[in-house]
Amino acid sequence: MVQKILAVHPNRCTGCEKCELWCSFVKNSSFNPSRARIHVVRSEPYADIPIICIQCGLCIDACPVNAISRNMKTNAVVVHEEECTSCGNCVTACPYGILTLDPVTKKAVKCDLCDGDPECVKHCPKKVLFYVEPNKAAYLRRLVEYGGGISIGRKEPIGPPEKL
Amino acid sequence: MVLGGFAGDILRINLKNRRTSKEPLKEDQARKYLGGSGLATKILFDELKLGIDPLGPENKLILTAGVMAGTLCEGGGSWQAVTKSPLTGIWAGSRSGGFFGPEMKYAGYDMIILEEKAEQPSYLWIRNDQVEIKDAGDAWGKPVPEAEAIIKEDIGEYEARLALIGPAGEKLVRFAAIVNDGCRVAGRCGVGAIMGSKNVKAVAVRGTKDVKVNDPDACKKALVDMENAVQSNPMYKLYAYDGTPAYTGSLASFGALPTWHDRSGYFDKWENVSVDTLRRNYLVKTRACQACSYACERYTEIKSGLYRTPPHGGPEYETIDLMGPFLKIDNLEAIQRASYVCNTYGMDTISTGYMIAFAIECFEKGLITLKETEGMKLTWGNPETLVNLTEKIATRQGIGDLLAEGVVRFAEKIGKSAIDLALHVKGLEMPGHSPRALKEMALQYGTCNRGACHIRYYWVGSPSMFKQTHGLEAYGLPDPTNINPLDETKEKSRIVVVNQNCGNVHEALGTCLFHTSSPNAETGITIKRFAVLLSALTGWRIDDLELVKAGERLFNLERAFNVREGIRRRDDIIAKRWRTEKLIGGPTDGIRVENYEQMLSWYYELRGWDENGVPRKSKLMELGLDDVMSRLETSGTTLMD
Repeated sequence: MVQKILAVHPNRCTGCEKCELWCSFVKNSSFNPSRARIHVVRSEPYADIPIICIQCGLCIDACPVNAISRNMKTNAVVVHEEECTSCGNCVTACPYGILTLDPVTKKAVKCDLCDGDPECVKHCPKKVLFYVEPNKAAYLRRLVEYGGGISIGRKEPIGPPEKL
Repeated sequence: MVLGGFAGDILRINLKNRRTSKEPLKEDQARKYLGGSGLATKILFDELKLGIDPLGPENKLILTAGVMAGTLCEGGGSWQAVTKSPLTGIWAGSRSGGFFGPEMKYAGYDMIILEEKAEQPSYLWIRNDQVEIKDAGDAWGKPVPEAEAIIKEDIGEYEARLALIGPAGEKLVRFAAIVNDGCRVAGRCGVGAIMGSKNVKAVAVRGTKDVKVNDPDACKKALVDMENAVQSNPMYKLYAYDGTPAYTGSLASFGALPTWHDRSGYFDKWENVSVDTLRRNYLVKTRACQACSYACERYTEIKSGLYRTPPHGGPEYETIDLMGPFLKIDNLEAIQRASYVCNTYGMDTISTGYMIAFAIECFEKGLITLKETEGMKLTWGNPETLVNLTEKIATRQGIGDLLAEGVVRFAEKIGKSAIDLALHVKGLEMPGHSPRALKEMALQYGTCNRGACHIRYYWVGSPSMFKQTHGLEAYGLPDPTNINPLDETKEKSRIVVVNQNCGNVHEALGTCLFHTSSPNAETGITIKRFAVLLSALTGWRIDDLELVKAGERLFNLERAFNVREGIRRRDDIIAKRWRTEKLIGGPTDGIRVENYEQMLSWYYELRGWDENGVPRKSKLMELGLDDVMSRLETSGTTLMD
């Protein structure tokens, strides 16, 4: 079976941070955006955009104790917390700033695609986030590339969620 | 057992001796007053001495985020400033959205109490347990966006959230606002002037702690139910597509759009300031506060011309009305420019727009002359008057210095019959809902604990105007089907009482009003849905009736604060124009408020207050406010049984 990919539709995000909050809630049973594995960047004048992990795997090579590996079922790159020594090499390696050390546990945390059922996608009120098959995700990535990676704003108001 | 939802601590900062202390939140108090602005009101009632000067060091400014703030509850991006108002001299609670409130919770605080006055201009930097009072330096005197950039640079923490005042707050404009996250504003009642009087430019917060949850499974269920209730709500479309500017058209069609210093309820050029005009020409995108599905903020820009304005949030409906039709202005660009000036200088757009209208009317009637205005002619429908006066008020220049004192002080200063023209209650200038076209709004203006306010305490106007109940039937709201907005019946008094009690629930819980709006109990965030989520968060077994009771308790507590300050029936009487003059033109031509005294007496009766508007002992005891009762008596208030 072809693995699905997490992707972002630019231009639609309103910056509500629901994805961050749902992420921290399902992972830690508490609300704390600084522990989330997805982050919304709001930058003036226009940008609101969720920064997601694209599961590139650079952190796997950066980890000196092999605490990070790829889950072959979901294609997600996962941290094995019990083996993590909090050295921070993976944070250095991550080009997207999406892998961080958890402020409470001090362990490396990153998106694990919720074992193939990402919670952030389910709860995004404006359907900014998608978990779709590769070619659809590739299209969305081209849109992001076209927009320079930031949400440049929509002239029209955001309508009801569209199906991709 | 985990008491989830609450952050757990109250932070107290004495600005004079620079001492800070942490007090744990008491669970029984939190439940009785629902935490947030409710508990803050209790603290204010207990700690403030009678009759103090609001702008003096004895006043306290309480910044508080409710139990729902920072959780995934819809509209949980809210926070409130609770204090004694410099504009009205009575209790004030001013709500704002954004992300500042949740950040306070993540730093571990449900409440930040500012006491005394800092010796020099300062700002507060709170990072979890570390609290610093820092020198405001160059940030002092700067408009909000620049000051925010300077402070972020200074602390080196770009993820911090700031609530700050602009030059208007520093200059103690009596309706100055506190601005957070760019353009979310705690606007009414002059809370920004209080911050300015304490020499505090900003409160910067960064938090990385958890807001805990008592029962995660139940919480998840409640949150999913809430999301469905909001997405399936017919009101979703209104808030997501159009935001509050949609009301310009609907209120005009009812003849309830205050126009020409509220001489009329209809503006013939309303289409020039409608939401369609805004969307077509100026809308950039829509933005949300934390955890909101709607995203009602209109992010707009004027690219060129006289009123060129960089991208910013707003204007909202109230701004459009008070700075547009209220002044007979149909130039949306001027309105946006004035709104932008208010946001960057930190002022309430409602009071600012109102003061300009009042100045024009006084000028027209010869109560002020070219001498006072320094040669500026003040005329209706003139965008230049709007933008010029807004800037003058923000910097207290020329006539702006006097206008910045608010309508009551301004009218007293110019004397003659000016006060008879003032449209205010208890010193708070009227917002953009006609009290003559909507009779329950007249009573709401009269009895709201912070003065003439349209929004504190639920949707007072919508049962009769839009036939929406918001699921309040269960708490005594009469069936709105056959109620006419123009009726002046006891049912109207009942609508106001039920709305005020229920409205205090979400104010204290720390959420936004807009998610509660719905045609019936099926959709929208009803009080039942709040109760289910609150139980899951805290572990309390709390139901909707207990919440409504607490709402009534809080309303009476706020009233007790005001009664102690001397507020009585005479202060609940609405402006003379609304009672004696008829609206001119539009669907509500010839309408005035005829039966106000009677509606007010019915209202007192339904509230369990005496004829003079003082809560009876029996009511205070029923609500468990025995200590409040004895404090009132000690301070010399006579209470009836």
